[in-house]
Amino acid sequence: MPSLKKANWHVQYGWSESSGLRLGVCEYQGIRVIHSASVPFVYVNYEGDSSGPFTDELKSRKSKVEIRDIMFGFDLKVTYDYYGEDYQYEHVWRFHDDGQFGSTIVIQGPGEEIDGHHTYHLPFRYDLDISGASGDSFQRRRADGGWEDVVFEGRQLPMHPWAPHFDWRVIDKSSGRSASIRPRARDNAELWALRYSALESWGSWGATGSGAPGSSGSVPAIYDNGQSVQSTDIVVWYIAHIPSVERVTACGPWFRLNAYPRPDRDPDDDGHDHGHDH
Amino acid sequence: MPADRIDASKVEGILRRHPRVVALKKRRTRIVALGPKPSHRGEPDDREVVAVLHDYDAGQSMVALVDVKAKKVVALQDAPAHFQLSEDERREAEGLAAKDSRVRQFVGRRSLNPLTRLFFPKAGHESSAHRCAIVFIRPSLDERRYAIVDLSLRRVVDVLTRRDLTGR
Repeated sequence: MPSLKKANWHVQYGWSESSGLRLGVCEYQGIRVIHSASVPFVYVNYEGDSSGPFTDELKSRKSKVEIRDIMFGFDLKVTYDYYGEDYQYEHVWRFHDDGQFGSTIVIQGPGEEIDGHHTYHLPFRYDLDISGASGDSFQRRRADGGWEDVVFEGRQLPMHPWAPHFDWRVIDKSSGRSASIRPRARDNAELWALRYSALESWGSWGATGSGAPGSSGSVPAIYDNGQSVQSTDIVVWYIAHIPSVERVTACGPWFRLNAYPRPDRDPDDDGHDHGHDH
Repeated sequence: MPADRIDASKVEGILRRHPRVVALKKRRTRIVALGPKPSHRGEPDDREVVAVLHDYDAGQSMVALVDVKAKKVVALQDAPAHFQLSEDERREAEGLAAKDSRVRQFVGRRSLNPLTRLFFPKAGHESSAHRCAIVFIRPSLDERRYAIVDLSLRRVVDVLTRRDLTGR
C-alpha cells in the first residue's frame, strides 16, 4: 500500500478490486487513528421494488489517485467511472492538519430514471483504532451535551438529523483520545457500532445482503451479535440513504479528533479565523 | 500477501481437499472471491488468503481462510452475506444475455455494451434464492433492456424494460 505523509497525517491508501479507494493504517501526529476504511459497495433500489435491487462496486477505468493540496490539508480523490453514462461516483478522502477527516462520495447518477424514484444506500466502513489495541469504547451524545456509553452493538440514529452535530464518538478512556463522528444533514444517516470480527472484516470486500444496508438481515445487522462495544476493537458502519431526487448529491460522515497532540502552528496563526479566505 | 501474488489454482486445490468441500463434489461450485486476508492488529497476515466458494445448487457461499504455506484450510464457515460477482460470473452472465432471443432482437446488429452487477430478485420470484446478475444492455446512450440472469439455472429468467425495472 502506498503511503503519504502530509499535514500531520501519515496515511496508507490503495485500490481494492471491489472497494475502490480504501485506507489502511492512518496516523495523526504519529498516533494511530484508523486501522482500515472503505466504502464496500453502493446499493441501489427503485421505488416500490418493482423488480429487485442491485449493487454497484466502486470501480474506475483509471488507476490514478489524485492527491490534491487544499487549505489546511489534502484530499485523496478518485472518480468511479466504470459504469459509464448510467452511474458515476466521485470519492474524496479529506484530511485536515488539525485532525479533522472525512470521506465523501458524490453521487452523479443519473440512474435508470430521472424523476427521483430510486435511492442510493452507501455504507462507509471505518475500523477505528484510537487506543492502538483493543481498548476503544463507543459513546453517544446525551441531550444535555455530555456523553454516555453505548453498551452493546447496534444501530444509532442522529439526535437531530436536520441539524446534525458530533453525536457519537469512539474513545480510548485510558488516554482520553477520541474520534467524534458527525452525520451529514440530508444523509438520512444511521450508524452501526460493532465489535471487530474476522467475518465482518472480510465483508469489507463488498459482501452485501439482499436488503438495503441497515435493514434487518442485511449488512451490517448480520454482524451484530449483541456484543459489548466497550473496551474492545470497534468498527463503525455509517450508512447514508440518498434519494435520487436530490441529484448530484454528496454524502458521508465527518470526524474530529480530540485530545490528540496539537500540531505546531505557524507563529502568525493563533488558531482563530480573522477573515481569511476559507 | 499482495493480491497479485496469490496463486488461485493453488488456493483452490487446498480448499477442495477440505472434507466439507469434498462432500460438495457433485455440486456446481466456484470460487467467486479471492484475496489476501485483511490485516488485523498483531496477527500474521502474510500467508493467509480468504476464498469465497459459492455452491450454486444450494444457493450458499462459504468463506474459507486458507494458509497457503501450510497448505491447509484454517477456517471454513457459511457466509452470512453475498459477495460481489466474480469476473467469470460477469462474463458468463453477459454471454447468456447475448444469446437470449429477446436481447438479440433488441440489440440487432449493435453492440451489447453490457454493464453487469449482482442482483436480488424480489421475494417470490423463481430465482429469489439463487445467485443472480443483472446485465444492462446498452446499445446506445439511452436505450436499455435489463437481462436478469440466474447463475444457478444458467439462463436468462427475465428481460426487463426500463419501466419494468424502475416502475416508471
